[in-house]
Amino acid sequence: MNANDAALQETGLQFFGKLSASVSHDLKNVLAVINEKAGLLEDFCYMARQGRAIDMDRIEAVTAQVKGQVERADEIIRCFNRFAHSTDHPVAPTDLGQSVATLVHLAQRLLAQLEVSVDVRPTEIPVALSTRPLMVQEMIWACIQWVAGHLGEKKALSISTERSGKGARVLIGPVANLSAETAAAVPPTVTEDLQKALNADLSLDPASGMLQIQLAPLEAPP
Amino acid sequence: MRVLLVDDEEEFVSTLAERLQIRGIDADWATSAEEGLQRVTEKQYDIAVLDVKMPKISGIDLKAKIQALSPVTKFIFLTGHGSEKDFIAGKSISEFYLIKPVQIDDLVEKLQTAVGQTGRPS
Repeated sequence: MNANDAALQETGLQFFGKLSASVSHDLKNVLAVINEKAGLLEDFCYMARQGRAIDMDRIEAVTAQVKGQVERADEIIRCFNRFAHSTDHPVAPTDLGQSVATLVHLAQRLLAQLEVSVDVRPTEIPVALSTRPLMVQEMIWACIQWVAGHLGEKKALSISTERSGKGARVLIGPVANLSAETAAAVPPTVTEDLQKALNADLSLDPASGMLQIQLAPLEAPP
Repeated sequence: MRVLLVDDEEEFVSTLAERLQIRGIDADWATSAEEGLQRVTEKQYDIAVLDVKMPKISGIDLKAKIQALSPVTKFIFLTGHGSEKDFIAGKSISEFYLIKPVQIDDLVEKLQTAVGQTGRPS
């Protein structure tokens, strides 16, 4: 393994670790909510045994909230499982739209810390590409972070995916107050090694303010 | 005892407040630092229970802001994570540092102990 490969592996692990830590925080929160709801139901039982009237609608509502939290955890785990499996093969056919949706779902807490809301635009037909599934999510996340620091007053960005020749394109933005300096700086959070490994080209469209990640298809190693 | 709970997880913090109220504790809640600070301007709290990791402002930064408005308020930190480093940092500037999920009896005991230290239990 050369130094570039080692650096790529390290940044990939850091990205995986950051997202995993955020997921563990989310799951802890779900457990904390369920713990309190279960405790509240226990409190209601205790009060009923003491002869106090308990509102059955309230019990139903709390029970429904517990179920809601179980569904929330299930969705987090489903997304996290999909994300974890993106390490199965170095290069694999990848549904880019699904990768973006998974990433954004898992990164909700991190996005809240950036004070950014993200709108993932769905596509009618899946945008599939042979690429490095984990690295492409790492690059999209690096680009989201950069765009988040260059938004206008409305702290909102959109992400869409589309076919582009034999490859595909991811669009993130819009970047506000687009200066020559901003355009030239695109985006320091993405390393050259990562761009090379993904055969990706990054550019900022001055008209729309959208950061474009142009991805060429990769061949799977023999 | 007047308690303010601040945590960005609404279903958690509202239910915890309800359970404290069932136990005769005057508990209010907020889901953001801004909302928490607003509550402090409206009412004096004996103790604030703050989530350490919240978006925008951390519980540790919020503590300093609340303290500026209400120097007598005591603090308990609550977190989903329990690294030793976080524990040492949190414990050094609060009465107690608790890990989620919390046991209500344990929290009530800690609240009483902390407020007892102020000499101002309700």
